[in-house]
Amino acid sequence: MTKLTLGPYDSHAPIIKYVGVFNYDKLYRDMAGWFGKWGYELRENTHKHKVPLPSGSEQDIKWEGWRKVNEYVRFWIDVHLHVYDLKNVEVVKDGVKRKLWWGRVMVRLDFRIDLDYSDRFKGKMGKIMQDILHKYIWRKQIESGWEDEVYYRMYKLHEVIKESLNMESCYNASERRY
Amino acid sequence: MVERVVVVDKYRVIYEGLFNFFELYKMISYYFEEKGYDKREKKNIESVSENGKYIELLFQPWKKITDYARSVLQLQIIVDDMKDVYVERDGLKVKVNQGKITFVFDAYLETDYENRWEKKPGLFFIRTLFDKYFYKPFTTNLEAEIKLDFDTLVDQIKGFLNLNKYR
Repeated sequence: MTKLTLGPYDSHAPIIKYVGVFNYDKLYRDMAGWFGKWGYELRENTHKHKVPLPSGSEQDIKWEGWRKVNEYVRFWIDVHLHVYDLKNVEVVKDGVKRKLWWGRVMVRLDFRIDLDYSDRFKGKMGKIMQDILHKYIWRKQIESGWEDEVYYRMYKLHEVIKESLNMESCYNASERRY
Repeated sequence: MVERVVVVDKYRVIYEGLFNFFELYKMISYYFEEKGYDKREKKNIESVSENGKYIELLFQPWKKITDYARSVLQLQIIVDDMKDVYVERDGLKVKVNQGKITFVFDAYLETDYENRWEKKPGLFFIRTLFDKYFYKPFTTNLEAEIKLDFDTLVDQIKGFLNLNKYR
């Protein structure tokens, strides 16, 4: 066994949907900024912009951010941002005119964990040793340590997105974790 | 496959009137955190229109009880036509929300959630035998615990909506 990837965890993946006026630039900047702030390398795998229709344009963006935890473990956080019917709108707030966006936003988050990403355990003997590590020595650390850590970090990004969209449910009771 | 015992099935609470959505959300999130449930906010939908906001939330927090059993409390919250209104309280103008909230509760006890006892027919047989004759009192206790968590949550929500009357 060489590199082993745990996830993506579809059943745990949170989805945010928002319809209304929002600041698209801020959303994009906040999300990218979050990855930078927590030391993740960000990779934009997809950035599709479809020809605008009368209803607005469509953008499909897929990101994956990764971060080394140690020489054996690497966290991945995946973001799928899909915006439909995106239009420029002018909003007057507190007497100030501002250019914002109106659209339908869908954000889906997920996470993965790479174990032995540098392929240290090779051959039959390596596989046996790795199995012992994963099943007996590090089992709790993998399930309740690393999995939990990346899971709750993903929810911190979830919070940033809701805040950026100015959603009503902006509170993270598990903020103190990790 | 995970064996699921339904402890609470689609229990509904409907409320129409004044409330503070942010405080309600905070209270529910805090409740799950305090009770040791792992956060799982599967859906968070918000749509802004001229009639007000439509919000739909789906919480599915879960708590590991043993390596074999875990409890899941599912709560769906649907808010229709939510608007911001200002009310006067103690001589001060306070911003609150007005609208209709529907809560739908479900609670489950999930056993063998790691599918360890289904890999071979022999294991499946042993598991069924143990579930039926040896673990019954144990699972009954767990069901009662989940029911208690559910009852406390419902009480807290009802209390929150009744105690915070912005009139």
